[in-house]
Amino acid sequence: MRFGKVIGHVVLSTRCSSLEGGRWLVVSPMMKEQIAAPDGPDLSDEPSAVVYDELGGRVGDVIGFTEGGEATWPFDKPKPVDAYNALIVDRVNI
Amino acid sequence: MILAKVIGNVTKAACHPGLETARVLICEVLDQNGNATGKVLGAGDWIGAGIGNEVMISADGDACQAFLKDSNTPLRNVVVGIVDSRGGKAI
Repeated sequence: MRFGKVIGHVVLSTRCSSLEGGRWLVVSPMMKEQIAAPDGPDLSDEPSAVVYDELGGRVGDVIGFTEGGEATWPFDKPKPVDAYNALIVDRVNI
Repeated sequence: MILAKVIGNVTKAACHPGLETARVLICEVLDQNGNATGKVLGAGDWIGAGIGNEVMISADGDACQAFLKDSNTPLRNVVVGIVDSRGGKAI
């Protein structure tokens, strides 16, 4: 699981049929400097990822997202998703 | 497996129901000589690793199934061991 800061969201006009009603967040992955100051303004230079979201993440939230095949596990019908929002962070204790 | 050092933990505001009971640690990935690489991972912990411990993390979801009750929990990294010592010459 990687941590990331939500910096935007994506609305799809045309999509695969299995992705109906999906909610997508644009997330900037966080490195150690960012996770140490989670409310800080700077973003890491990692390429940002688009994450499937069912928890209602908003811009500015810090989330933990799972990547790879494990991101398809929460769905009973298989969906072509490779990044899933697993948790929204309340507090970072470092 | 991934060699990492636990630098903190995370309290959850909202999460997938399968992760409610999971304790999520923030671990910094180490390179082969044990130096920090700046890359950070979140790992589920059921064996009680503390902050400052050097741990070994499994990066495969199937390994997490042994710890989880809910089989469709999207978790990939789990702490599977706490490192006691590391040998070998620095590369």
